[in-house]
Parts: sequence; C-alpha cells; structure tokens
Amino acid sequence: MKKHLASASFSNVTNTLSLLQTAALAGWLAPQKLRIIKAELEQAFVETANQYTKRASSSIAKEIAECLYQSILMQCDIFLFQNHDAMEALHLLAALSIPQILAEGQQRILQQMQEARLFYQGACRYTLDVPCFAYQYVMNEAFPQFLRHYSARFDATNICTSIDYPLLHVPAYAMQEQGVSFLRTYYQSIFHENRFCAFFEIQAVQNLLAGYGRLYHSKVCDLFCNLAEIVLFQFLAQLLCDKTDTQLILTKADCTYLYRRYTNTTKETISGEADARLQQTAFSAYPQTLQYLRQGIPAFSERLMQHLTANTLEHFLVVTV
Amino acid sequence: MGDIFMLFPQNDVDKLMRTKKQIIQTNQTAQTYGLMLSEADATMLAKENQEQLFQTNRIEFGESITPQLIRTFVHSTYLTQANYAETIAELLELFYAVKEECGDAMTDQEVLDILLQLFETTCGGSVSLLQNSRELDKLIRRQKGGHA
Repeated sequence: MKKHLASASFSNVTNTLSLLQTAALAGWLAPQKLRIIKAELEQAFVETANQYTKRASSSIAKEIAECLYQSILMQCDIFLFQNHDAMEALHLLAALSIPQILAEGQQRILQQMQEARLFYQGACRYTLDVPCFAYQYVMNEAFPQFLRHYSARFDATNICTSIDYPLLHVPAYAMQEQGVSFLRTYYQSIFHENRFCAFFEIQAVQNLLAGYGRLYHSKVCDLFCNLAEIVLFQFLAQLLCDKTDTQLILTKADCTYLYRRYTNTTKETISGEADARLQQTAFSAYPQTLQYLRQGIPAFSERLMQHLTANTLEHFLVVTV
Repeated sequence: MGDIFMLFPQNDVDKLMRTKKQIIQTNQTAQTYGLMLSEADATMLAKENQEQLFQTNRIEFGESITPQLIRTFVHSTYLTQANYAETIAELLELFYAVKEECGDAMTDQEVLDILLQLFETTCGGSVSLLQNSRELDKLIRRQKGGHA
C-alpha cells in the first residue's frame, strides 16, 4: 500500500464498495489483494445465496441477489466504518481477510441489535401519553414489527417497518443509516426525546400540543411533527423569559419581553443565551440527553429570529391569552 | 446498485468455460443413450443459459443448471441425436420461465421433475405442447399457493 494517501481522495469513500473502487483506481491495494477480496466476497455471496435457497436452487431473482449482496457489504461496512475513518478502514481491509471482516461485522450487528432493543425499552419507559398517531406508531408498533421481520443475513439494509415520524434534528427519511443501524440511532434519539419530554407534567405537554394544533389548524392526533421539538422550542423561549418552571406556558407579556430583549440581537446571541440557560436546568444531570437537545438550539434561534423580525411570534410559539 | 454487479460481473468468461466443460462431461452418461453434444453445442447451451438468466433478470451462483437439466432429461425416449441440443435449449428457456412464474416457490429439482413428468406423458416429448400445457399452469399455481 502506498504510504502517503491524500486525505482528499477519501472524500467520496463512505462504505466498503466505494473504498474498494477508490482503492482499485488509486492503486492503494495490490492487484493480488484486490483479486483475493473479490473472490472472498463472491464466495460469501454464494454461501449466503445457498443458505437463502436452502441449497435447492442454482439461481435467484436479481432483486433478491441485490439484497444478499447489500447484506454482505453492510456486514463489512459496519465493521470497517463504525468508529473508523476511511484511512483506517483501508488499513483494516488490507490487513484482514473478508471472512474475518464479516465475522466482526456480524458481531457488531448483533451488538447493535441489542443496543437498539435497550434504547427502545428505555424510550418506552418515558412514552408520552399523547394521541399523536405517528408518534404512537413508532412507540408501539414499528419496533416489534422490525424485530419480527428483520433479517441481517438476507436483507440487512431493510428496516422491515415503516418509520415516518421525524426526529428533533432530522427527518427519518434523511437519515443515512440503514437496517439495524438506522433503528439503533433512531431509538437512541427517541429515548433522549422521551426522557426530555417526561421532565414536564404530561398535562402541560398535552395542553401545549393542543395549542400547537390550534396554531396549525390541525387535530392533535394528526400532528406530523416532532413532539420534542415543540416542547423544546417552547421551553427554550420560556428560559429566555427567565422562567424555569415546567408548565410550558408563555403569555403575551412574555412575548413582549422577547420582542424587546431580542429583536435587535442576532441568532448567535439567542443561541448562546439559550444554550447557557439550558445547561443550568435539571438536564445537566443527563449529559447525553443535554448534548442531544443542544443540537436543536441553532434551529430554534433561526426560527425565533425570523418570527421576531416579522413580528409573528404567536405563529411560532403557543401563547396563552 | 449497478456498482455491486460491476464487482461481480455477470458475463463471466471463466464461468462460461466452466459451464461448457460441465456440459461436455454429461456426454459420458448421454453416450449410453446414443446422445452426444459437440463443443459447438456446449458453447451454444452455455450461452443460452446466460441469455435466459439475463432475460428473466436472474443471477446464477455456483454450478449452472444446464448440466443438471441434461442429466434429468437424458433418459427420455423422446430425445434423439437430431433434436438433442435444440430440445435442451428449449427446455432451458422453459425452466427459467417456470422459475420466474412460480416466484422461486419451487426448487430447481422440483421444476425439472415436473417438466420431465409432463414432457414424458401428456406432452409426448413436445416442448411447444409443454410450454402451453394447462397442467403445467395448474402445478405452478398450486406451488404458488393459488387456485389449482
């Protein structure tokens, strides 16, 4: 392998396949090693296909073959790219055989499955008693469905369930992870969101959602937005008004204060103050949850600034008359 | 997804040669029935196999089905040296059509056994009758869990 690899060359390398293609083009791996990798991957595919057909067919539909190939490559990805950058992944690829990489990948998939289960169970401990269909589906049905149908061996990249409910920072459809990795990250996020929301009185959350529904002329059960985001934004606005209670109530007087205090500032100022105040709340006892919530602050500041400038705070926050 | 198949090319010349060799090896048994495939026949059948895989959007792994199909049909009294290669090619096409039609609900050997049974009985050794056989349709639907 060449000793000096330009880091820029790794910019498009995000998985095993792109690493192999880039390595082949750039000559980072010896042709002999590439041939061995290719043969070992093909051998892994043949064995997986034989297992899929119970050794009773010599061919499979191309779409099935694609799922099997992707499952094998995901086992490689999960070992080579989880906790490793592309350069480290290349070194591992050069040093280990494909069967070794696949064995490590399978272990990590099992580990991720276990972690996903724990995050889901943790999230369930804090499930919100709210009638939002998309949220309740994610809490009650999506994960059991995933467990019933997921196959790491034959269709590892499929989540085998339907998850549309968005997360605090990202819509579900925009998440890069696949299969069990997706579920693990998703329910880790839901765990933090539920733990955050459970900090407030459920009646306060229900009242807030009802107010939010009125704001958007929508029934609470049909709300298709992240509930933790609604709670967090209201809470951050409340903190900026020097209110640290858990009632999630903002009055017109609070809005007047926000206009007066922040209209002529910047979103960076708002972010800084919101961040400092959030860190002084009880969430500092849960550093990972706090860190997760902090990622929502830039979006909050951006939107607050927009509504302050447009004089439309009551279209952004739920204001009690 | 095309990238994956660039990693594992479908038009693999080595595989074509291996299949051809396996087809030629079936001559050892076929000769006892007065049948034989030439090098050109074997090449044609190996290519026909690849063509049918392409047509039915399938990927073959491990050994080709062609030698197994030959071994299943070689005992048929309807095969003669004059129609041997051509009939095997037609049966190959039918084999993949059935596999596709039944959605992989039948194993290779189950498909071959059904084809052989109908070829030998109701179809009297005619592949075109076999292709249009209502009995074959019924069996496929039954295997798919539909109405017989």
